Amino acid sequence: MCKRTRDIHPILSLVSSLLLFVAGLLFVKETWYWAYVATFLVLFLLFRYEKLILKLSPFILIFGLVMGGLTLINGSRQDALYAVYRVLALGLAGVLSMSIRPIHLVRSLNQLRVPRWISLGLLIVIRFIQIFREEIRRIRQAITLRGIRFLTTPSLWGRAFFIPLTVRMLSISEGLATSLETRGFSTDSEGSSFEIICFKRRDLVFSFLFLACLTFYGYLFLRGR
Amino acid sequence: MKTFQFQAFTVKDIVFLAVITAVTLLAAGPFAPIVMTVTQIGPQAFAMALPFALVTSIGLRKVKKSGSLVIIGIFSGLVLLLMAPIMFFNQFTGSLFSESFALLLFKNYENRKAVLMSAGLFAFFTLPSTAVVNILAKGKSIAEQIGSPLSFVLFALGAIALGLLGAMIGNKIADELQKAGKL
Repeated sequence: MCKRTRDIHPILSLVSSLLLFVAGLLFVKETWYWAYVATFLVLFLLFRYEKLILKLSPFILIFGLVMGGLTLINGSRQDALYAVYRVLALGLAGVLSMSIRPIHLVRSLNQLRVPRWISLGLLIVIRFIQIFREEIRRIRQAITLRGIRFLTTPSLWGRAFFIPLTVRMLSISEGLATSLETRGFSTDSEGSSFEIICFKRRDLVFSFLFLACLTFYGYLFLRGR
Repeated sequence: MKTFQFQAFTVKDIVFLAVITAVTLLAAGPFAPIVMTVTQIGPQAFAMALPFALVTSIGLRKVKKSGSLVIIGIFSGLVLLLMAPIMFFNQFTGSLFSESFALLLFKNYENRKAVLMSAGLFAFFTLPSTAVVNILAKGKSIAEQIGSPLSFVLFALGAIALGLLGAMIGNKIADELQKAGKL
């Protein structure tokens, strides 16, 4: 069943993000760079990315200032501006890539017949980063309770941190693998998908506008060479 | 056995390598600001060498199959692709070069030195792809990227040293777990 959502197709988002980032880095030294950023921001607003833009803005602002500040130490004001522009390119690409839901990406990768071990691995990595962040927090809490300090006994701290972490990694992966195998999952079999990610009219409009804007700035860039 | 071994990966192997990748990315997380702010080539590999080598060497001790490091490289690259697209090529080529080099020397992961080399040189081997990507995407020449040759050499050697140190620590942890019957 094809689900109607407002999200842009994950593969389209990923490819557009890649194009936007590479083009952004190429155009950094152009005088019209601000117009490039503004155009794509407007495009994103048209496609209802305002929440993601707001969410990413503080990070881009702080990171841009840090990058610009660091470049100013041994570079000119122009170099600092380029450093900020590079962060803006990263931010633009980030809006698209962060809009992708991991499960939708995995489903569309499956539809594209990408080997299942790749989509499964990607999903596990994305899901388990959060789980292990929590595990690490617990292990560090236990270390603190036992009075072990990194500065005074680094080797003891290392043992107290890495051994429980590895044991948790082993037990979690054993459990997960057993669970997958008992559900009939294997790396060589073809699976079915509960939900089909289709290429909608909205995706078509987005790709048309996106490519039109990118082609226009590509033309400006090439004309200036 | 001194031969190349290409064995199929089971679900168990894939899951463990994916979990190892998640922990590798978390371990390298605190160094991400250094990697993202530095414009010269070298400090990135230097900063990432220890956490990457430490965690991936544990993974290679558990899944001793040719291609394990490339799988870790693909997984971490795919996740980083969502944040900074260029990083995918960095991770993939780094893991490919490092694993190929280790397996050319030692044939398979039964030899502990193969694990040490493969995991230890991972960060160092990201340097060539970083340079190529910087030339293609940012138009920076090699001389611009290197800056001071002395500091570049020091960072590159430091990346190798820290990588090997990380892999040694990882191997030691794996030894302890093997003794306890956990690995």
